[in-house]
Amino acid sequence: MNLLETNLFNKKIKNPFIIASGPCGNFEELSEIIDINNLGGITTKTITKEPKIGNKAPRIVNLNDGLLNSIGLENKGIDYFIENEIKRIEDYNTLKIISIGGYNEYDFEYMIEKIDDYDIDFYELNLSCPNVNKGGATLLNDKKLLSKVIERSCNSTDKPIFLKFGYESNLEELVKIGVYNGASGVTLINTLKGMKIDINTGKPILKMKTGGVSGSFIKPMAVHCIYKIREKFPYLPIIGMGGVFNHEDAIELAMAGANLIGVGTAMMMDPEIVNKIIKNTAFYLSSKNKNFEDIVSKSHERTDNYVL
Amino acid sequence: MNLARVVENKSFYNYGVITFKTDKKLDIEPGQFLMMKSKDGYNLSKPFSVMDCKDFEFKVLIRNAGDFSKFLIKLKIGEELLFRGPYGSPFSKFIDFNKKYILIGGGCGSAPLMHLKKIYPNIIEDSVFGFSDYRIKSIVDDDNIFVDRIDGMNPVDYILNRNKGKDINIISCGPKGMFIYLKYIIDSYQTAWISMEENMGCGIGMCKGCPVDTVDGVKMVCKDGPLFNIKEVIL
Repeated sequence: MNLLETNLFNKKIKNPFIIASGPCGNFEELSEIIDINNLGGITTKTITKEPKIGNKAPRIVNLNDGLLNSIGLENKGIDYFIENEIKRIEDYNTLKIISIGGYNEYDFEYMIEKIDDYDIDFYELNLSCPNVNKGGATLLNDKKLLSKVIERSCNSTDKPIFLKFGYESNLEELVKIGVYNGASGVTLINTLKGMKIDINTGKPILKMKTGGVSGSFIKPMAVHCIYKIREKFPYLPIIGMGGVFNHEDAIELAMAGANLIGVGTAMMMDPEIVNKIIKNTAFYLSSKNKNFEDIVSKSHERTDNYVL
Repeated sequence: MNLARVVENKSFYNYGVITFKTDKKLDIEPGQFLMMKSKDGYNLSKPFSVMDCKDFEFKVLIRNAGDFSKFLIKLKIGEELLFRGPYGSPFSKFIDFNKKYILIGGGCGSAPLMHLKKIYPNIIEDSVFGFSDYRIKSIVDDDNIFVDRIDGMNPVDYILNRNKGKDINIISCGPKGMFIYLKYIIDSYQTAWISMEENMGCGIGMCKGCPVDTVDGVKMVCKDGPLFNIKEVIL
């Protein structure tokens, strides 16, 4: 019996572990190291309507237990994706989530309509990338535009749409706007805006000065956001991510309310790490005589002192 | 990830040459690099070109420049770390084996060039390896180490003057400033290849963390390089 098997929108998923958008590109290189088909799902790097060259180097800085990046959504645009990459992605026997980013409702609609007939499962709207000056950040600041983007995207497809948010102070309000306009779920959380300064030169290390912080230190924020949204929206599917490096991290996010668990930064540090996390989570569940769905949202049970 | 154990550490404050032994037989071509990290904590691996490699052993040249090199310099015999690779295109993919090359190394960028010189001595016309600390001579054995500035000359001018009048093909690895200077002084008919370095994330091309601007758009140092034609890159 597969203790890790889970269900979302009546779709059987072999395990809850998915690759978060970004760190693993579109899996061409990763597929030479691990078997993508062993994963619960994969999320593409964010695709935009037009090609984006990304930010200048340095784009990446190591932090102890995490990193700071300002890649800037480098990608070759939706047409290149369709011509060169989607066929290979379709062939993977796993949940396929397509991450898309844009500046307005027409960008999102255009991209969804172009790829909707391919064998893909969900969309994830990247509404919160900290590394683009326009687009993501603006969308969250303009609720009217945000509503239009979500509504129009949802009307363009029958496939579920997830909205990816960061650590926003008005997260509940944003999720409410999302649900009201037809979103099927949320992805929590994106990287947090941060900075690192070289104390020998006094200058920020990243060329763009600021970037997105990921790693162990954002896990408590991720757990908080997931918990908060699960509390308010008991049946809303949540993809949880932020600082997942081992099975304990993954279980914590699941107990906060995550139905699927994204692994991101850890994959850059060790591309084989997701296999260890899958194996150790199965071992944990087996030792507790539970399956994965038993532990999802466990922290919301209104009982004191329960022991698994 | 694979395990590597220190079998020799010849380090002083500024530089170090560390030899590692592994359980995996290594086949590393000059110009390729390994991604190395400590066994503890969650950190990005750092790319290191190998200076020498034979069967189960490889050697790296390090400069004390950051937290990880500080950690490496202090490693004792028997201590372990993790690595994966080799990654990156070898020099042999780009260079013409019917030609002779001049090698210009700057600091730790000398490591892959020393490896090239050892494996393919017949294609080397001349070489210079510039360092800022004379004590490098106690840990690196090569006749062409250049430490002191001669008559205000830098290693690049020095080696090019020494080979004036010859058909020059260059392979260089070192700091970006050296490449900018090289691009400025070489003639349009001369060929120069440069092995570039950039902050890296994954080391295999998936994270897009190590871009280099080229005349053909943005490329990744880890996957498309690290060797590039100097005419191709926008420095």
